[in-house]
Amino acid sequence: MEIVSKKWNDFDVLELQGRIDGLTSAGLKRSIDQAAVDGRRNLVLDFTHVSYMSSAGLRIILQSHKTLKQIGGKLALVSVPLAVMDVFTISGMANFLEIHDELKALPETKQPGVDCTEIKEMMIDGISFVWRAGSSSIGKCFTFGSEDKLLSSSFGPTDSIVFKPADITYGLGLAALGDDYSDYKSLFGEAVVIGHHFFSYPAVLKPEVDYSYFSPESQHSLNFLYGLGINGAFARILRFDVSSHPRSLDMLLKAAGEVAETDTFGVVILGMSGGIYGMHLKKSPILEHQPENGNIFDASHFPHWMNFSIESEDINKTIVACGIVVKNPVLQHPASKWILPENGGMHLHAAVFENGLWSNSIMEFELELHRIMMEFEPQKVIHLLPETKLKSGFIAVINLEKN
Amino acid sequence: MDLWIGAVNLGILYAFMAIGTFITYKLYSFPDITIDGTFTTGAAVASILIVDGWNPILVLPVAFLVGSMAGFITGFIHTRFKIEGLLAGILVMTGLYSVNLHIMGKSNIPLLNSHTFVSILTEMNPGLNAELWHCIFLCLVVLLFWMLTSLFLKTDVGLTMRATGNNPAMVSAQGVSVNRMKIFGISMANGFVGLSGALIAQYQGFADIGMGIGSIIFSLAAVIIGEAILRHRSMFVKVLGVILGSIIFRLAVAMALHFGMNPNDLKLITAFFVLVTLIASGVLGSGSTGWLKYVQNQYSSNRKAFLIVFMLALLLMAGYLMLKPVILKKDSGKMVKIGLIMANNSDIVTQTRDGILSELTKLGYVNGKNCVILEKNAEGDIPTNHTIIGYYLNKQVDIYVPISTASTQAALNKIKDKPIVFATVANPFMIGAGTSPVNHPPNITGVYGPSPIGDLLAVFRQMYPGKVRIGTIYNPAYPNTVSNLRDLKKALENDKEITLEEVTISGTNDVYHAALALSNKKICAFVLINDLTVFNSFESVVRISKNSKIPIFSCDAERLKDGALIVYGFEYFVSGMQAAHLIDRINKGESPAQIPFEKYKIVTYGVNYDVARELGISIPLSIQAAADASVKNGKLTKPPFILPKEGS
Amino acid sequence: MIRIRNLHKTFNAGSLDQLTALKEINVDIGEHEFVTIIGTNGSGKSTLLNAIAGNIRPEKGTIEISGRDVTSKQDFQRAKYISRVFQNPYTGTAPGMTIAENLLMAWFRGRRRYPVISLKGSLKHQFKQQLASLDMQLEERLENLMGTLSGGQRQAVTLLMAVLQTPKVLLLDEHTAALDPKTAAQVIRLTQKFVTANKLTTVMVTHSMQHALELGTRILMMHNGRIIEDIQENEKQNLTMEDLLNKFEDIRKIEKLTPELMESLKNQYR
Repeated sequence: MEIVSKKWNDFDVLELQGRIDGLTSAGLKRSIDQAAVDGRRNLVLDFTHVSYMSSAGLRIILQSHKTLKQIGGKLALVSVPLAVMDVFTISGMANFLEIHDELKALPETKQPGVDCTEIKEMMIDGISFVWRAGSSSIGKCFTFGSEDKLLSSSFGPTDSIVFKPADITYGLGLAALGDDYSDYKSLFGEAVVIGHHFFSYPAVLKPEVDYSYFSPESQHSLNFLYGLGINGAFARILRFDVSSHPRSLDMLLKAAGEVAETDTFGVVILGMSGGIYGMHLKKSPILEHQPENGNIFDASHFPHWMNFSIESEDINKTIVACGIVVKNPVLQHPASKWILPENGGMHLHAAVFENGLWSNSIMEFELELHRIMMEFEPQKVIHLLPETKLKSGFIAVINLEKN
Repeated sequence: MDLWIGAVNLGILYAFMAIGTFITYKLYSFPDITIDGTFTTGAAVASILIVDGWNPILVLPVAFLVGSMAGFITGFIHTRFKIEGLLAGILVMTGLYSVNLHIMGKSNIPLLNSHTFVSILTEMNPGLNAELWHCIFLCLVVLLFWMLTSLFLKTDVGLTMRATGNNPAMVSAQGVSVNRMKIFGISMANGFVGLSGALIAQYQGFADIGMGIGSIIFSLAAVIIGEAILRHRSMFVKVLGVILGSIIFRLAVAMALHFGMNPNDLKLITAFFVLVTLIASGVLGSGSTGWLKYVQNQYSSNRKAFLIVFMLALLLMAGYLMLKPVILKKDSGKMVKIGLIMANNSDIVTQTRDGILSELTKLGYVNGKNCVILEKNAEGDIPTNHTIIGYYLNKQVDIYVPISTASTQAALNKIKDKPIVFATVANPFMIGAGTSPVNHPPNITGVYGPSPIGDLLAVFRQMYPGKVRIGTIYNPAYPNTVSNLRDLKKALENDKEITLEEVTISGTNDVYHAALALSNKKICAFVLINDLTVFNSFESVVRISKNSKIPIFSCDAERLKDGALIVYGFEYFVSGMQAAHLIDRINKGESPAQIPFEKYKIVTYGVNYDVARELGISIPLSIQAAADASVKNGKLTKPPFILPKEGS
Repeated sequence: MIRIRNLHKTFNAGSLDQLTALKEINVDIGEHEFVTIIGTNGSGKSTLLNAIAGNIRPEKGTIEISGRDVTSKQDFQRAKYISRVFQNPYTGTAPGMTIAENLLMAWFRGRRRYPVISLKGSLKHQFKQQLASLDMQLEERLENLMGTLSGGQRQAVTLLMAVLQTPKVLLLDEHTAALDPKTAAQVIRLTQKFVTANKLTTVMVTHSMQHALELGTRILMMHNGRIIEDIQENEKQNLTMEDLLNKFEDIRKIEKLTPELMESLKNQYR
């Protein structure tokens, strides 16, 4: 079977040719999934040249219909020949599938439920963004602890700063879950808080992400060695889609800077990765692990203490990142001074999830973010480097007050 | 018939050597050139011991042992110092040449009157043809040898040897020292070669320093032929193939001779045959291209065809060469057959030959009309003398005429019931032809004579009286030379005022340096004894002579025109003329037993006035008057050769 | 059983392409242990095996087998204790000799050979039975030339040869690397069978992490001439392919970590 994809108004059309049967249905599924991953979620299957369809094809169409619906897209069929139509009719699927006689008969739809007036478009460095404004309130950023003891790996029981999930909306740092220092001291690692949901990646030999879902009454202790918290609402939400040519975080955040109203701002990113560069600790930097000579970033210790990317890893993963960005590193926020790298404009931690589909509707961003937090399986949490590339996704900006 | 049986016998004796090559080349893929030297070593050791009175059978294990020692050295050099096999073989072979000379003390040891396995066999002969009787016995021996060798190669040690050649890494992993195994195998192979040398020496009746030359190619040919005719995995068959290969090869040599082919062309053909087989079997170079690959495929699928092509080539060549003689030899049954055997192509030999032929013509012998004159030249290869005689035996030659020592030696050994007339032999007694000119084997007579070194010295003394120094150059490898040197020294014993400076050489390339060395020792003249090597490079001495104004005195009349100042020596042409008369006498019914050995009759006493002028030497009038030959203004004047009347 | 101390080997010492193949290797391998050695190309794993076998002379350090210092012994002298299977199926057998003759070579491993004919009736019968254990229908081909066998069959026979006289140490040098996957699996099965049956102390170099995980009691990971991981039996039981891959990935990263890259990473992390 051959599949040709083309564009019709707002719809992405897959023109199918030949038989859809046990042999070819898998190819169809791949094509539909790929389109969804690429952000083409209003899909139309053109059946004009389909000569035959077996139940295998039926199953794929049913699955795709459900998937697309779940992520805010939809699946429509056009020009279905009579013989094939019978299959849909007999199976009862004709009742809920959107089937039209021809492409022209498709309803002219924009993004479902979107108020067109709220959406703005802009081009920055050749990337086209869609964005909408959100809350006008200014968020608060606060740092805690100190990384002074990181180099010498000399954190002790008194350095542990305890938060309850309700205390931090968004944040990052070196943290671990647990109640008893002796239990969690060797589990400190990169952590990220997104909408009060907490994810940490213990710096141990074979780490698994540890996490705590938020509910207002959650009494889990989030133990930070140091870190940064942001409490506030999204002022701007940008959507981008550069699937064909993934862009680096650096560039994308510059665009975010254009819409951010403060010099230092917080970001929450939901994106499809096009190659991640990240770092994370391999050993918890506590007194017990202190190296005999030198510090943990000495050439002889570095590789044993730090996991790092030397080339891009993890393509097509869902990542959710959060952290702060300064437009001009020289004028950076005083409170965040130590938490930003020298001459660097960002500090982000990211939770990397296994590949999955989510809605590309800018209106549903908050909902999707929450759903991903709850449903997706986290694989790791990393300190995200600016070389990381994204294919598509959202950047939510929180304006931060100057203090 | 003798020719063919003789060839089989030689084949059997050479089979021991071929087995040696089989071990090194087939089992170890190690083309061991050492055997060129080892073969002679075996012969040398055996001969020297037999002359010393050892039992001829007992010397065989000794020859084996000494041979394997030589092999050990090659193996050791190859394995210990990681020197390539071919090079290691060449090194040892080259070194062995000197060792062999030392063992023998001279370049040739005759075994004619010694107790050899052949003489033992002859004693036991129940009355059969000698060659046939030898053949029967040798067949039994080789049968035993075949069984033992094959069985040995099937034993644990034999298997390990084969495995070592087949896959050294594997046997090493099985706890076998590859180096030790290689040394063992190469030693054993050379032991067999030494044994073969000892047998051949006894069979042909002498050991000679040059007898091993080319052994590797001949035994390779034998191995290859064997492989072509018998192809089977069984060790018994393989070893048998090698033995048969050796016999077939010797038969091929005999066949070539039989059809009148120059036996020396056989060397070229053999070398070519071995080369072609090596290329075809893919031993050389793996990067073979299209046509070569095709030939290799053809070869591996049909080895017999290759052998047949080789044989055909031999036949074709032989056929071409035999055409003329066959026509001429029609109806030659009643005519006397005279067979000339020449050892090499030196002046001395060819002069002698020319003398014989021209004098025979004068005496009325016309080849093809009233006599048949056969000529064969061994071109310096000692075993070929032997083969030529076998060929003559087959041709039923009536009178054998060996020219020079080596040929005479071979004839002495083989011909017992036909007359032999030798010519140009310095000292026939040294090679076992009797004890005095009258007391000699009944079928032999000939012309001989040591060079007149004493007379030459007397002439020299006329020009250079008082305390003087003279120099001489010689190659100790030639028996004649050694004998001549002995004469020179004997002559000098009477004249204590002459100091002799001698320099030895081993080849023509050394002559120039030797002469140079002598010129630096303040000698007043080169007094040269007859030495083939020196004469072949006589120009070198002449150059030094001119540069340093040192005159040359020579015992060889031929050297006068070449640049010697004074010559006093025999004319070998005359030696031939004398021999022709002896042939005539025998042909007319005289028994050689009644004819005493004749000394050379004509001496040439010559002065080269051109050289004298060039060197600024004035020739005393007494010498001018006495000399009968001269070179003046480039013109050679010589009295004609007139033989004195019979009996004078 | 095997005790290696401070082993050091440099190839082409003093020249431009000097290569340090082994650096201060210290390892003890106990009796009945089955150690697999994995490592990147040029990590020194084959060199280590060759050093144990005696094919390579170390310039420093000692090797003891069963308490005997064999450092100065040559490979064939060590063959008394050690048997080997090579990577190349053609290295371990003599193609121009029969299977029986090859087996005889192995039958005498490390022993003196005499000029007697041992390869007859009873021994042949024994060889036949042992060949049958390979399950390759070779028992009827005792008199066939080794060269007529396939690579896999030859490697199987080599394996049989290696255990014909129970060795103190069995060395396997990527012995399935040159075989197709199916034959390789067959040879691996045989390896397991022989090693288990004879309780052999075994050192196997392999490039297959799968084999390293499935076979043996201990894994040595080598890189740049050093043993960088020594995974003992208890840890090995829980080891996955991914763990091994990660370890190799770490090695690769460390190799690419230049001082400049490290400096930049350091700055970006804070």
